Amino acid sequence: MVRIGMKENVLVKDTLKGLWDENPVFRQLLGMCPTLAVTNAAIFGLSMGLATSFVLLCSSFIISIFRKVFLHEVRTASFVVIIATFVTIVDLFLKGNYPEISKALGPYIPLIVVNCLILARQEAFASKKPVLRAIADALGMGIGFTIALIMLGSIRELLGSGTVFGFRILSLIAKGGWFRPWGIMLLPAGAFLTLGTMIGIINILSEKNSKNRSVVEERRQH
Amino acid sequence: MQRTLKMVLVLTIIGIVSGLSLALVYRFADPLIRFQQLKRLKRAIFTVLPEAKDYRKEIKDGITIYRGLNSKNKPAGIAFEVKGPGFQGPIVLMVGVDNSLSKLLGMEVLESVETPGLGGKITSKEFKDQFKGLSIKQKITYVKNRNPSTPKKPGQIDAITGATISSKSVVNMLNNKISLITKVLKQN
Repeated sequence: MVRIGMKENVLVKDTLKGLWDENPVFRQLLGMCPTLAVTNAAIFGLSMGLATSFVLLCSSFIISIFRKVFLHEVRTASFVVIIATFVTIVDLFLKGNYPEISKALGPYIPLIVVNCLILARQEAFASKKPVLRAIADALGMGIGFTIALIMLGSIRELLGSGTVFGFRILSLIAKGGWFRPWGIMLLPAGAFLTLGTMIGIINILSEKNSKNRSVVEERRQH
Repeated sequence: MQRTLKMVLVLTIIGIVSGLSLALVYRFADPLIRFQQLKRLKRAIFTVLPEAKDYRKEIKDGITIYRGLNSKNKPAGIAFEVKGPGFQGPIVLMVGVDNSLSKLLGMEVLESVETPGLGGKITSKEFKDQFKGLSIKQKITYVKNRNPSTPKKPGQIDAITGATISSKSVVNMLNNKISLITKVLKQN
């Protein structure tokens, strides 16, 4: 069995925790605003997830490199300016290359600036840890966030329009099928319903998982 | 004082670096964004003026119109933007009328934030197709829950079931803009 060095092990842990144990959406409940607002279609969830991940990665990188520079009293202001710079870059990029997505996501791209996930990672991690760990953390959180948004987006799009990523899965009554779109899934109420249900399911799964783990631990000790 | 000075310095430097980076990115992004906007405008114009191969922008009395030109460079209709309040927010349409200002040639929705599944249906092909060839010799009107056996009157469209306000908004803003355009163009 290959012995992973201490350093690599820590980096892997930093990344993986963002996917499940400390998933920003389902466990930390950060960044709820874009999560609820733009997940009425899977492609929007993906786009928002990628945009947020980009901002998170770049800001974590910069803030970690210069972490000795930020004076304690003005650190929040400094972080926000840096985050806002990268958000503006993303906004300009989308407007110039993917105008339909930019239009669909609307004000929620600029609102990435106040996504508490990003500021939280800078405050709690990137400003205090070396660069490689900060990048690993940002990567994990970003991927976890994106996966969560894709899941929510897919569910809401499937139940609300019968499609996933634009591909028709359920055939509409109007076209000879059986499916009547559950319109409310496309609206805020549907967002809350889906998110709440998913958090509940994941909580149940996590409890079972940790119960199993502690049972295994006990058995191992005997 | 030393501490305060340091704080000011740090924030100022961060601000300057940030501003410079954005100015640089903007230099590359701006032409690209303008290109996208022009592309969108062209696509809308050629959708609502099916025979136009080119167009000429004209401004009369502060109103901007796009005169379509067919392959023989002859007038192929007039396109113009129509803006108005919808149910959830503003609606922006691109509309094409024929040279004699007697009927619509097409309608495209450029911007809308109507309720998905209800007012959002104004962007559907079924709704938009109603405006192709619609007579504007009279005011456009809408009808709710029309019995399919009763034919539509000239200049009448079917409102979207459950989205009367969005349908009504579209009809109203069209009527307003069309009478304005007619007045301005007939003057010359």
